[in-house]
Amino acid sequence: MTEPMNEIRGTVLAFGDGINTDDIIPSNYLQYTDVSFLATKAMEKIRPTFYDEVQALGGCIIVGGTEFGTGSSREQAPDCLKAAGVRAIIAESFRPTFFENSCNVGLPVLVVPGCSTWAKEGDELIVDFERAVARREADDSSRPGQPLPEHYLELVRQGGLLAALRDYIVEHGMDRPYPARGSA
Amino acid sequence: MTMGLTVAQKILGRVVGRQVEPGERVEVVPDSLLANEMLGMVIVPKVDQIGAKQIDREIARRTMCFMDHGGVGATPLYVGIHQSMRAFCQTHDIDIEEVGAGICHLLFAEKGGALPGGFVLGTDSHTVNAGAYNTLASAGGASEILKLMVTGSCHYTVPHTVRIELTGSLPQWVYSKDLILYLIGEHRARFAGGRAMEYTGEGVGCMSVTARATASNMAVEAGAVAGIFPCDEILREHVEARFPQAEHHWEGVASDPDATYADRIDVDLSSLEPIVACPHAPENIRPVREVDAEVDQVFIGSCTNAKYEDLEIVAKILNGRKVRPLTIVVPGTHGIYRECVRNGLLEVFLEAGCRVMEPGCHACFGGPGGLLGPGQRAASTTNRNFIGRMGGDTSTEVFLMSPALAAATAAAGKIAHPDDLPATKPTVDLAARSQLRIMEQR
Repeated sequence: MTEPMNEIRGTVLAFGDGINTDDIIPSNYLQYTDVSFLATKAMEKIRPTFYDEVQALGGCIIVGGTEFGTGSSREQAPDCLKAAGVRAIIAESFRPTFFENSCNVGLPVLVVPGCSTWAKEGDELIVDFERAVARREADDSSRPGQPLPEHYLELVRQGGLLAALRDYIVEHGMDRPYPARGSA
Repeated sequence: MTMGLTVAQKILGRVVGRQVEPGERVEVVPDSLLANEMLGMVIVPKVDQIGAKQIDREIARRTMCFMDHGGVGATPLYVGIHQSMRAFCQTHDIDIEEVGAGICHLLFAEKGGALPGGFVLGTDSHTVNAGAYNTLASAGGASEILKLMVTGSCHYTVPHTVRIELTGSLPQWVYSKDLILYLIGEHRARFAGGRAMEYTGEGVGCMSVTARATASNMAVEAGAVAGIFPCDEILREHVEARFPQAEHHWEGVASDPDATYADRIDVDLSSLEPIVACPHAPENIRPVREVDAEVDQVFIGSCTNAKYEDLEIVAKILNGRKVRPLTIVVPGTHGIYRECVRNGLLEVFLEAGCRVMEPGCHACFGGPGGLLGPGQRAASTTNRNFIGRMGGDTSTEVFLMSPALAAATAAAGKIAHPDDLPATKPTVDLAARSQLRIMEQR
């Protein structure tokens, strides 16, 4: 079930500082609960071609600046990025709620100081989350990241929180309706 | 030697049952849980995905659910989300308010969800609003809240605290909105990484509880995870008048004199001036008189600034005046709306030419009602002016401000200070109306 994450590869799509959750998924789409539809609208207002670009690349790694994911606590933000084909996000810093939401939905995120000036649009990167390092083969350079706390790492290895919760409800018989009122 | 504790540490210490340290990730059960459309949009689909037919009974009992984002039967998709929320709440025996009842954070406080010393979690980032009630109140992501609902507990990181020492008192036309915009604009970096704001000092006493809530509400725009006020006489009276038999009537919690703070910011309230946050971020602050901009729309509403006292300020300014651009007023809750009707505020709004919409979030977050289009510019009492947040695109501009500035802007047609409006004679005797109300109540 759990897979080590020592080699997530992808082409960089670069974003600046303070990318907020309204940038990631505009609020007017929140009424759509189909995540695969939300994925097609990711970054629409600030980079309308984003979804098509990620499809053409067959997946990507986002490089962000400071405070990535600021704004609302909406989990649709990391959910739709993951569904669009984003394999990982590295940034100078993250908004804590976005960081936690990403781990909870199984989208690997890593704080990599200096990454926004080091990694360029179109670079091919390999991000090793187990060792917390981002590497660029083209010039054999790398940047160390802030290691993910073990509980986050474990969540991301599992692909998110839902798998563990599914086990919990089965173990506790919560996959059955409540007993009828009045019965013991 | 034991070090003193902050409010956040004390509240979490009670919740966890032992002393906690900033930065520590602890397992928690909140005293109350605020849920809104995020329940129907994300949590219910994930509940179905994992096949859960039951949720934790104690958490269900502690949850208050609200439907404020989707409007009253506004779009087919929101109608569906509301149906799924009603069904979920019925199945799991969760308290739920109907659509149009009000904005979740204001209604949550009206219903006694936020009481001194309490620990509150919510599915919406502005859950921090409850900090005005001396609670530690923060937002959680949908999956974290799902974990709480399923297992009965979730995880929370004990925040480091930044102490905000307030002295002096707010001058005329300067409000708690200007205080928080100032903190966001000048000190935002100091809250990064999930710190809590703790307001303290004699300056707190010049703000009512609901005024404080504005400074708590936008703590999140400063990057903070909470915006906590102390429990003083003003809050104690406010709570006791409304919830004499509150089930969880916690004692107020104060920091120890030797508590350890990550940082300290001193603010002389008397030195603040009316502030506007220019597009496209709340930190782009400018003094109102340095901003010269005509507007196409004024929006007066949101969890930040749609409380009765906010609308009272708006009514005083608009009394005897006409609005120039399209001006939308949204009372925060059904109760606030009724007070506006009883006390003549609604008459002022209608005579001035405002459009009054039912309580809810509306365009504040880009929901139905009051949206903007490309190239349009708006003045708004809301909390975020990100690109496209209230509709439109990169060419749409939103300026954030206090209700007083928004009302002056509505009357002038361009961003304005209330003192710069030509003098006028009020047409509705608001003082006599409220006098009449007081006599009726006797």
